[in-house]
Amino acid sequence: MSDIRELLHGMQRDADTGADAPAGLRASIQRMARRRRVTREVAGGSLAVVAAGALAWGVVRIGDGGQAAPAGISMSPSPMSSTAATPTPEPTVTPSISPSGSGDGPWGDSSSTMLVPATHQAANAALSPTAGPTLSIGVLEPAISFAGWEDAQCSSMVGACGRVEAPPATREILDRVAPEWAVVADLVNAAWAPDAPLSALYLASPEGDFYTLLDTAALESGLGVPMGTVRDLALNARAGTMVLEMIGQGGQNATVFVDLSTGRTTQLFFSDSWTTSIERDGDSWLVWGATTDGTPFGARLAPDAQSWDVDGMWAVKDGQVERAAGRLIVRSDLGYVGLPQSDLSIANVTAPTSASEQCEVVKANDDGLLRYCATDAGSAPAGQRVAWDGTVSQAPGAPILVGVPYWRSAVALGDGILAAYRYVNGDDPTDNPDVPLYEWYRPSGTTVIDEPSAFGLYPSRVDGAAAWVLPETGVAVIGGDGTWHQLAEWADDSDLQYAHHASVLDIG
Amino acid sequence: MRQDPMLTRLLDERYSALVGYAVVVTGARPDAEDAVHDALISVFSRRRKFQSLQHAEGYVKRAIASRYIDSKRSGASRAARELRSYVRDTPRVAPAPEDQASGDAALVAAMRSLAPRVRACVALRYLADQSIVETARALGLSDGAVKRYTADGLAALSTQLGTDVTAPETAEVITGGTR
Repeated sequence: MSDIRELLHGMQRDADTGADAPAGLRASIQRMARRRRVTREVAGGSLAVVAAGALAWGVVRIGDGGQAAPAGISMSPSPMSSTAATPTPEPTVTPSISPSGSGDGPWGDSSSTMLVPATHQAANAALSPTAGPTLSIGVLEPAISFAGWEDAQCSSMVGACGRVEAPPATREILDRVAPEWAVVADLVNAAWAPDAPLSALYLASPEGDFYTLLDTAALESGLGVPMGTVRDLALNARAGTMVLEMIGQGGQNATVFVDLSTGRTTQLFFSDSWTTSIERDGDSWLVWGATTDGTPFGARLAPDAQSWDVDGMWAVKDGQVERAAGRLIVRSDLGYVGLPQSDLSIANVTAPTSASEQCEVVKANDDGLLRYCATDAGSAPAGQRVAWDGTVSQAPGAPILVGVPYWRSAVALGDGILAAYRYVNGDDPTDNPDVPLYEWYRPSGTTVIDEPSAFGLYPSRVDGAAAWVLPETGVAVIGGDGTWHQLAEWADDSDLQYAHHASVLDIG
Repeated sequence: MRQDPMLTRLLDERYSALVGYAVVVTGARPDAEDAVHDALISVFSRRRKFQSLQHAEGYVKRAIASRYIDSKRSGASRAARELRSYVRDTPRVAPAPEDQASGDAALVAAMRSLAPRVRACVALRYLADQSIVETARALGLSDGAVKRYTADGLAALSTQLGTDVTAPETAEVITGGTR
């Protein structure tokens, strides 16, 4: 009898000759990694722009959504401070949640940093169909421009203007102004060397030229804390304004409004608790996220950052905020709530769903959401419809008890839920682990697709359809009408069995 | 451009060990070196932070397996029919009798005879000490598929090595999880 671990470790030891990495390998890896990183970021940005184009948004947020992290800090809904040039505005509403860090702290009470973006006649000539002081950019938003990028301002405030002769060494796309224009951060190996973080923000042209957009040294001098990185950013090119979510080197976050034409900065939040996402919505801004104690929040910021619509502040624990179907969907340990993006009023916060269920939201629209819930043991998974007023109904279809589910997943399919889960017979979870059961919950009734299979089936969401990753054979897409298409397959002789499986799923 | 210090450390201190691991996963040294190269590029083209060399090495090991499997998958679409024919019509390579004279050679041959995904599952589970869930996530497989591949792999190794290859472990119970 042989222990597989000993055998494999012996094999590995034999293969480990102690040889050094070949000469040139290091540079090759570094060069290719960098190339791939830039390519991926550009490709990712393009996809996001396509999505944004469909929604007629001009600027796309690129970056992570807010996420919770452990800590114990209360909400601070109105910690707004402003520049010396601009009086501190009063927030329109102060929610009942206790504020914290309302302007003083590690980021300083206010900032009067003058940030003037670089500009240059040459840059204008390169960027605009007609040379002039206005920097015009745009495919998604024709005629958007940065106003006031005057040479004189640039020269007096920044010194180095216009096109950057030495492009940033390490780039990361933070936002898209147009399909081929991007706001790029020079991270200076920030991921690898946290003590040498973001140095500047640039505007990258389709031709690969770089123009200084924001000198972060000036920004951090106003805030008083060394800059770490920009976690999220949304640029309103038409207005020449920008909202940044920054993380200082000490770990503190700050959300800052920057008027690129005047250099005015307005510190919207400061706290070490905010994990914020920013997105333009028309000319205003949606800012949402969760504090590190898991308290989601959402608010609308006026175009000029002079007022907040903070009605939408709310508090649930361990939550995350997502955006779907024109709503901010708040997921917490209590379930889901959804707020219409157009009205973040706290009155719209619906009763959360049951805390005892493990639910997966598969679809959200103006009426509510469809979710698929399963419990750990003993009861069946079920499709449910939850209206935005909190009403939970068993829909569509009815749950079917088949055993103890230990794995499940679901996607929206048509007007119902296509669910897959596996169950076990008896107490041994390994007894029959490879028997998934598929159900299609439809308003007309539940269709059970009980086709025992030795293969996993992992669904994920695709616009208007369900995509199922078939580990054995590839990726299949099921249309909303139940038709089936296999997009890709990989080497295995088992796809013949999936051809049979496809016929089973073809029930539309 | 500044060199990522963790990449430097990996190449200086763990390159050979990574290749050794990759030999187990891929079954051949040239493939192993390519797999290590690809995995390092993949890992270090993203801005990941690693707390330690061990952390980075573990990450790269998972990437070696997943990249290797991906490379096997990517060619399948355009050559699916040929590959299906090959899989159906061609018996998997059995160790030559002379290989069985040497335990190491026999093991290498036996591992090479496994299908790539089976080999990757066995390597991740028992060489990289990844859990079923971690292995499934790394390879884009279901938990059940990992269990099955692993069991199939052990059975095949037992048959080919002429000894009962075992891997006592605690059963993992998965409840209500999703991918």
